[in-house]
Amino acid sequence: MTAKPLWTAADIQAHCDRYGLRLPEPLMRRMQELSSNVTLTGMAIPRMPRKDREPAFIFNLPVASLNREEP
Amino acid sequence: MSSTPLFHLTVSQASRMIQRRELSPVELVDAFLDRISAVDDKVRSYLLITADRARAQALQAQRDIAAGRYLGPLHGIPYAVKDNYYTRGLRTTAASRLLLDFVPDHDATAVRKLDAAGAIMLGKLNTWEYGTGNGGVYFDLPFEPARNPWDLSRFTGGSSTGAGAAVAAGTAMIALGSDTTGSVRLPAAACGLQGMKPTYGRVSRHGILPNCYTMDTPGPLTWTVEDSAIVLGVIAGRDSRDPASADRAVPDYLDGLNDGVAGMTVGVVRDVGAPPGAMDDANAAGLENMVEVLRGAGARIVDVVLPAPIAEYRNVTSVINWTESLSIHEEDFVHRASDMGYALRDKLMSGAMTRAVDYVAAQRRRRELADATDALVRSVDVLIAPCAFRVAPAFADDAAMRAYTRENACPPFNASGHPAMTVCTGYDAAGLPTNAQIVGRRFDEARVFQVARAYEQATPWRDRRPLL
Repeated sequence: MTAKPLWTAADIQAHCDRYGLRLPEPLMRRMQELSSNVTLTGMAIPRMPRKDREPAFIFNLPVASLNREEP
Repeated sequence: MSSTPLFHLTVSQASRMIQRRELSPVELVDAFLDRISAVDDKVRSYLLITADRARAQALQAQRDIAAGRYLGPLHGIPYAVKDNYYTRGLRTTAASRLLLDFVPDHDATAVRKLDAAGAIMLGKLNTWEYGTGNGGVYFDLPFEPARNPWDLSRFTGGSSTGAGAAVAAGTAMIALGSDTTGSVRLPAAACGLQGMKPTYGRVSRHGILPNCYTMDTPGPLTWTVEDSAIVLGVIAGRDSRDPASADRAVPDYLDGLNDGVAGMTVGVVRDVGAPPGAMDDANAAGLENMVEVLRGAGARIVDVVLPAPIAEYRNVTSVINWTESLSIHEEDFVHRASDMGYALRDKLMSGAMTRAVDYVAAQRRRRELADATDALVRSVDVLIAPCAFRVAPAFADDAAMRAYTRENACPPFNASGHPAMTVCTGYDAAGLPTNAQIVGRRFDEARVFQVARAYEQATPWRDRRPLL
């Protein structure tokens, strides 16, 4: 986590307003403290070099049989 | 064995005695209820104790067995579940103020299967709020946290805190937990148990309060590997009510359990790319002990490395976990954040700031990591690797507490879905358990059990119990 949060207090307030979040002041401060770690963690994930590299499957049709393979 | 208290019998020992009618389920359940009365004020492994129900079920089991209706190795065996498992007619709180009055109208599939096998539930076990958090314990939930039976000033590992505490303390013979990024394996590590996170999809998630849809994996914590094999054999299997449930046959995990490791190829991951000094000396020695014991038993040992540093897996699982958790708890977070504990709020606030594109990027990178990890696991019979890097930290040391949960080698196998079992590798100078992890090919829990059993049988670590 960087020493200076990447999100300002105003950023956090605007984000919460847009999100419909009404948090007390101590939680808003904590959210600002967490903001750098969240932003940097997300940015640290390497992007795929090709557009056809799909996500890990999180939705399977009931008829899918991909998980029948033997070990 | 005659000097072993009933609450320290293993499942296999107790079930043999029950089958031979040398021990009745009533005696056994009473021994556990007495043990709970004696120590659980200190250990806090339970959030709800269902003594009357357990006694009634034990009496019924005793009658059935006497009448020749023996159901198998779990008949009459006491168990308990983390309080995120639904239990019909019994309060299920997940240790949250949000659920203090919640009584499910059905059982989790795993609970239903244990009950059908004749096992007897003693109650609901302590947990972090909703089975998740930020690694810290802030004493701000409606229940006191569970404490480590090896040292009551120390953490049990999370999030299946009560499950780890109960089996170590002898307040349950079997405990079921759930593992999103280590929540079965870390309590097992901290409490000196054998903790199995099966292949994702092997055990139904139906009726377990969700934490992270694409990584949640239920699994048992037990004293021995054989006990874990017995339990998994009962709770595993296809369940149409869980969309991630795998349609794979469940083998008899006791078949071949004692066949040893001669001729197997064991890949050793000594360096997971953690910062220097992340792993303490006792845990490093424990891993080397496992290597040498398996080599001595005839395994071929090869050094291997994970396809990416541990931090990269952790970034991926963190973003997925934060985001999916917020999607689960969004309404409560918007309207009742102040009713949540600090640890859960911290996680959900992180989810509230995560961009959608980062979540999808994490799932895309996860697929690559999972494929690369699978190729590595398939190149050997099993991997052995560190699990928790350190022994259980003291509650008073917040930095060490958070590091225990954040810095470990659990996430790669939640990202990839491989079965991974934490095994006790001994004790440090202060008597705290050390651990390592055995990882198998997908749906090949049988081989993980086989290797873990060979190690367990060759070492004296199961001879020691915490003194309470």
